[in-house]
Amino acid sequence: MTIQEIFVLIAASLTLGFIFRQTKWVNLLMVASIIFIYWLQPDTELRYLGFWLPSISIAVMVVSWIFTTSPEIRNQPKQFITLIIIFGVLLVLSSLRVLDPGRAWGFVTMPRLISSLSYVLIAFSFLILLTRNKKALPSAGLWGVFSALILIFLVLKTPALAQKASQAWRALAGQSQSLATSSELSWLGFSYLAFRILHTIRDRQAGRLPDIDLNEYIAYLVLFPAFVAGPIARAEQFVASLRDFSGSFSDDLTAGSRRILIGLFKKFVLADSLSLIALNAHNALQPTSPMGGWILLYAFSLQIYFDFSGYTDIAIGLARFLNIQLPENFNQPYLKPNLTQFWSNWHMTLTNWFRAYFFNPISRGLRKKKLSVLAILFITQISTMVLVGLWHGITLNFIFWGLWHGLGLLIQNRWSGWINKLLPPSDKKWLQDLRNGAGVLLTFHYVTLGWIWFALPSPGLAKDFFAILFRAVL
Amino acid sequence: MKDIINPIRLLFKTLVFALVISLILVPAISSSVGKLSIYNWLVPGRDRLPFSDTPKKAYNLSLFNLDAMFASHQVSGVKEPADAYRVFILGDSSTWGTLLKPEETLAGQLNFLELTGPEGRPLQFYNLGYPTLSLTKDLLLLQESLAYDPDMIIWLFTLESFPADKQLTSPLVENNPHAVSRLFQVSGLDLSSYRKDFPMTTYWDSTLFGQRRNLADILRLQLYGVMWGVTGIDQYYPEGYIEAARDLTDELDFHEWQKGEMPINQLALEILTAGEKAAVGVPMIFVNEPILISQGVNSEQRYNFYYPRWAYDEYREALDLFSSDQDLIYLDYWNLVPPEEFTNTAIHTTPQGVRLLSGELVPHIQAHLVP
Repeated sequence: MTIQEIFVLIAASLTLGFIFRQTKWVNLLMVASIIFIYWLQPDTELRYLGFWLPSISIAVMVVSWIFTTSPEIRNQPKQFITLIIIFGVLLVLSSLRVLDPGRAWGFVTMPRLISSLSYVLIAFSFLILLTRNKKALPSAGLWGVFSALILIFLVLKTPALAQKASQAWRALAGQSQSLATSSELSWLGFSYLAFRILHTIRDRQAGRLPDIDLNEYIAYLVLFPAFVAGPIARAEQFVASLRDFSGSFSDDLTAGSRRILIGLFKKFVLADSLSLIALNAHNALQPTSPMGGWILLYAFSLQIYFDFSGYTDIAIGLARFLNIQLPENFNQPYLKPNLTQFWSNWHMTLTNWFRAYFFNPISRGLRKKKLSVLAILFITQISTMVLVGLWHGITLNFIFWGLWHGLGLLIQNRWSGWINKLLPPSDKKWLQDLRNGAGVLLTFHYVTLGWIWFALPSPGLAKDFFAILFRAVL
Repeated sequence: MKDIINPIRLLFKTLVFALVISLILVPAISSSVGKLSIYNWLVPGRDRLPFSDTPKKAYNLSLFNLDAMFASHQVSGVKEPADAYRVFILGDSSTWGTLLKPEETLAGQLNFLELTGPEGRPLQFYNLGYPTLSLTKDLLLLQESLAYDPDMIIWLFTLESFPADKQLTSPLVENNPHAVSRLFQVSGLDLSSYRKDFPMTTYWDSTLFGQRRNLADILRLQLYGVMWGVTGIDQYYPEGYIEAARDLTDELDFHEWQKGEMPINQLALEILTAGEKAAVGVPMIFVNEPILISQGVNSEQRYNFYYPRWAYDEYREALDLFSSDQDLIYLDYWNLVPPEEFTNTAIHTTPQGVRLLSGELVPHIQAHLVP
């Protein structure tokens, strides 16, 4: 997001937050969020994809809600009204080609009215029929949505598949297929959207998800402050916060402004400055000394933290304006004395997601098979971290990054057990501080070295960069 | 009772705070902020002045703050032996070294020779060339460089830097209007004879709003300094480039002048003498730099893309006469470098082309140094 876009979001959050507190209209937040999906979605070379991707997102959201909600809630008149409001918003957005032909309002390029209106009409006729259905829907539908999301995810995150999809789109749109690239299939916010939907599906299957109104569900999935870069709140917590108007606007204004200022400073001053000297594919082999390589790497390590945590601060601050408490995502991760604590404080909502929906179920399953503790740890830690890596992109480098952290967690687990027996925690503060300090340094450097796999696009380049870093000792 | 924020008071205080910073604090410090630099301290000084159109690849950028430019250059750090002669080389992009690595430029190659001057004192050459063709731009840099104690100045130029209409259009000149105006005043030159509408800055340009680009550029220059220190790269070298044209048009006009009608008084020759006066006692060598003499279509009418033969011949004649009249140390190497040693323009040469020039210059440099 650009700073101009963030200022627009600030203005919108302030205005909407004020109105929302007076009216308690959740539809207002939902409508604003839907509009911002289209506004923030980048236009790509693929013709009209900028319109179709958010449109598909909205359809997927409504379908997910239908399948995760009981018939009693689904059939309430207010849900029908919400659906009509969404329908109306999409009609207006579809008409932007006529209303704003010069695209002065900054929205994506809209397709011809006949295509967009046809989609909106057909999709909503189907969704209305589905919503008004008084019977319980087959549970297989949940698995259907689940599988569809995973499939889209695989396509978007696998460069070869994304390129194929891009070629296919170009063929449909009558564009040159030879110009297709994997990067032009840019679906803004899909990762976060998918994770939130998957969470509601799994919780519905487990009977943990409370009933949520359609407007609350959509506001949860695509609330505009958190749409692009998280955090991934839990639905029930989000809805509880949405319904709680006990806080004062004055407090939220102060706290939100402070968070936004901190976030802007982190993102646009620190992270953007560090990006000029941070490790990347272009500069990886240019350092003339190991020290130069370390400078690039440290810069990347700090840049990624300030960038990501800066966006989170902005999102949390904007949400405060809207009377919503989003969960924290970072808690001084680089100051933690071991890797387990690092992962409990880095991108916490994603880590919690994987813990809840992958690590814990797999661990439980393996324990039933009576495997050794070490074997269970090995399988769960490695597979979880590789999966976290793949979430960023299905490439060899992200697999290596996941393996790096999986192995690190495993080794740290064994090491901690061994060292605590050998050298139990001391009563002496200075000794404990020394131990913690050494742990912080070691953990920071382990994580920072791991970023090499993350920052560079190929294992070969990463290997060459490792060689530069350790040239003096190799 | 809990304090409740009064939004109007908060807004008012914020506005006052922002205005004080923007209108008072920033104008007060902006004139000296360029001197703050990590170069020659945390990272090595640059071998040449900062310039680039592709900052992210070159780890370098074009900015217009002269203090920041010089502070980032090794000339402002004391590196050479205390008794060394400091020789500054001024000029355009061919001196700066487009497509050349720092050690391949004229200053770099002269340093490689490890020359000594009178009394066996070593010579240290500094590349103060800067792209864009304008003698006024060179004069501005010369004036700034005098603060760094030169023992000799070598000033290279070509005809394209001389026309009066080119003097005040270089971005570096346009963005330093007060320095240029002062310089012209001290040198007894008439600014308006070069450009009637030369834009001067106002107080508002010194506020935070007016200075935002300058401040951001200074910060970016420091950050790219880290990359310069880490990689030793200060220019983006493309894998290939389009060679300077050898086949030329039959166009005979030079600027707005037709063949045989180039008014010598429209060439800013007086800038050269202004430079010599400004340098007060520092020996200066003026050099007409090598140009491509093409041997393609229409080469009997033109030397290269820049120059019809008649205009360049008249220029050389005028310069010869002027330097004799003014008693300047003037060297004319216009045809020193063979055509195959030119790269992407008619004045940019290969390292071998630079070597030819440096070889010619050495005896003159050693001869004119004052112990």
